Amino acid sequence: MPMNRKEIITCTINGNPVGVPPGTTILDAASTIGVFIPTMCFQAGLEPTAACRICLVKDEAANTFVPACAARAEAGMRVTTENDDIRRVRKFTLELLFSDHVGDCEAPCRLACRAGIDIPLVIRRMVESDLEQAVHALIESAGSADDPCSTCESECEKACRRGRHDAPLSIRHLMRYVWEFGVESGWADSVTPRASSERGKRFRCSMGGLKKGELEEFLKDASPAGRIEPAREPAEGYSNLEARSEASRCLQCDCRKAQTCRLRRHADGYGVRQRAYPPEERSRFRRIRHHGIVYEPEKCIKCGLCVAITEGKREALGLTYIGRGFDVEIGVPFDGTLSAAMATTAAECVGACPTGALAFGQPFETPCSWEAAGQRRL
Amino acid sequence: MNGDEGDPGAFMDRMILESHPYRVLEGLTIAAFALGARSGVLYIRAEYPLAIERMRAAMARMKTKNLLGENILGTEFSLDVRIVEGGGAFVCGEETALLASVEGVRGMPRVRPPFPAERGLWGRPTLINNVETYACVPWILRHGAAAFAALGTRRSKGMKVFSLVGKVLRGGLVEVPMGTTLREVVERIGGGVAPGRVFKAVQIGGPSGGCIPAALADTPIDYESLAEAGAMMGSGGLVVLDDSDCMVDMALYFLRFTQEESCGKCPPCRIGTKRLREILERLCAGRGGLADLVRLEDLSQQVKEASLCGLGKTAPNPVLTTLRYFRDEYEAHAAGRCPAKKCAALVRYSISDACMGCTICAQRCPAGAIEMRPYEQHAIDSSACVRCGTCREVCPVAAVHLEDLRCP
Ligand code: SF4
Ligand code: SF4
Ligand code: SF4
Ligand code: SF4
Ligand code: SF4
Ligand code: SF4
Repeated sequence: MPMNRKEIITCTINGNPVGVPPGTTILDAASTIGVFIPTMCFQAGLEPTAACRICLVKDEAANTFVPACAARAEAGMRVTTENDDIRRVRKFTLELLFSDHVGDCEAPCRLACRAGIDIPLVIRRMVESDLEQAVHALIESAGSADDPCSTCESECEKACRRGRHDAPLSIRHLMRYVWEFGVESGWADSVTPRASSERGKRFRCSMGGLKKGELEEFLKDASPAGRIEPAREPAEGYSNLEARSEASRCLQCDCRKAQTCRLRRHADGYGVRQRAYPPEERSRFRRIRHHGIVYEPEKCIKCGLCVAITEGKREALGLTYIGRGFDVEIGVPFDGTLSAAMATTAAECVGACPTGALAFGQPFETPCSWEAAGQRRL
Repeated sequence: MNGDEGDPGAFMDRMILESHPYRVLEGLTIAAFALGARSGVLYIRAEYPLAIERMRAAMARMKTKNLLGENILGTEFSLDVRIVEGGGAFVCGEETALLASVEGVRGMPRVRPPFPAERGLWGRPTLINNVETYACVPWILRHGAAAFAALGTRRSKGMKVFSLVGKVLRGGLVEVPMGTTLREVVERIGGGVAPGRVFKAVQIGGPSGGCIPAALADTPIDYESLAEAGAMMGSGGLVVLDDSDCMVDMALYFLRFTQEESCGKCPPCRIGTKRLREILERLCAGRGGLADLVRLEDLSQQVKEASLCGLGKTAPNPVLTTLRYFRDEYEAHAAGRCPAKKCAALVRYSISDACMGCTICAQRCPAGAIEMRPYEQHAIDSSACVRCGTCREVCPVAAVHLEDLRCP
């Protein structure tokens, strides 16, 4: 095909005529007129693979579905980017993905909390020694600046996953510790609670009952210590040290990408039912960690972005597909470690991963606001 | 050249490669000459060692005669041909996956367009055709296109090789002009089914094809008629089924094959075929229900629509066609019965009072499910029985019967 630089291809997208140079993808052509097409396995700068099927649009002229990320706009195409039929196919693909997806978008404790506090996030911030952020997370998610824990029956603790192992986390004490810290430090005043309409209405993937061996996956990274009760007057609550030790018992049951996950966002947008195509048996949840990188294979949608990134950036080891068909998995060749596989590209891979499959766990603990601001009690 | 013949029971390409290597190489050379290509690749599955050996020998002889290599027959035209052995993945029969495999990367299909003719091997324009196609080229050049077009039907020209297998008296490779009816192939060429059996259907086109019932046996074999019936020519596998074959079991057989051979790139095929397989397995095990039929149909349709490559787009065909023509069998399975008495979980063996107590069945039963009671009527412990059928075969008085487990 002779390429004439001045040549312009005209097609229509949702009825609007669009002129683009030859070779332009439908996705790019649509963006020139401000039409958004959802994607998951696409990232600008990488070769499109058309693997995830979420960007399927319809070419009415040929009456076929085509992947917008990879298909090029051709003269005479009449593209529709969204209608009931297209929504149905996208929803189908998403529902299939969820039939093979194991994870909890939100932790059981948070789902039980009547105030909707993002408990694992608050706890994570505590473990990270970032009390200021812990205060923010608490007040923002609770949607109010008043302490709801003081009058609560601790429903969260009844739901806490750690309870199945030894004893639930002492969530109430931990949250109250942060509340009081927020009030005393004045940080609480600078936080705007999120409007309640923003909370609680999102799609939630849940694992259901745990399978054999799954609790152990969660326990791998938590402190093995037993539940800590405040040594002083219970009314006075935890000391700094106690709070921190108790916080490190948390299993981090929620998904690290709950807010940014594109799979979840699309599930919201397409009204996905998690169990539309129930599997005969769901896979076993795994959590693999190495130097701050968390990989949860059962959340991977095999989009291939991480593989393409490690390959493109010439990682010595990199990530690769292992196996084929339903059993295909993303893994590190030769049983290497995650951090070796992504020696220079970890941040890029985690950022590109559309789901919570690749994420950063707690960064290395750094002495910061906890000690600096915590003149409270020792 | 695409010689990655992967359909179960298909061996047309193998026969051509083993028996007529020169014809294929001649066709390939002519095609290269027409296009001005300087290199050719024969992609042959490694499971065909004899085909590879014979092609190698043929290439070596052609080189010594200057029919391949530099300046063929003293002309400007040079062609370098090499063999690449396929690693045994069915999906590498898909042309873009095949090209990836030749390049040494994972054999996963990519989206078309661009078609290989525009951007193929190593990013260069590539002509890729099947063994049979190249093998036809020399004949066409020698006899002229009109002679070839005179064979077959108006829209499907020429001849087609089928691998006729299954419940026919004379199986094997057959070559027929397009437009021949299925009945002619099965009855006249294949000699029909065994005496006492009833011809039920043919599965045409391998795991991507579909099932055509005996009632439609007068369908002519051409691309359009087969597509209309929900099947396809595919590589040319033709499995004849009789009344002892269960259609649900058959659909499961082919689906299991494609599910295991899916490359895993796109969710509709990777996960969809798995879910389809689970539902079929449920039905064959007697754990299904009528709702499963609706699920099968819905999943099949959407997997076809949403999959990336031909493998996923055609994988549900055996399910859809059997559902279309043999829905009653599916309904029977949903109720826990296998009309063909094929699905092991839905049938049981039992011994009637014709039994004379010879103990042969008890001696031969591999599962120890029959207690030895000389001169008495024997009985089968259904929970221990593995449904191997041995007892029925060895019983000298035909006292062993197959019956429905649920409603005897
Ligand atoms: S990966 Fe996405 S959908 Fe899955 S649990 Fe995490 S947030 Fe939810
Ligand atoms: S104690 Fe606090 S965190 Fe727990 S459920 Fe009650 S309000 Fe929520
Ligand atoms: S272990 Fe942590 S995240 Fe899990 S339920 Fe308990 S407090 Fe919540
Ligand atoms: S780990 Fe993430 S980026 Fe990598 S293939 Fe899976 S979903 Fe895609
Ligand atoms: S349809 Fe199947 S074989 Fe084809 S790309 Fe998708 S997963 Fe791979
Ligand atoms: S079918 Fe096989 S296992 Fe069952 S009773 Fe007969 S011989 Fe034994």
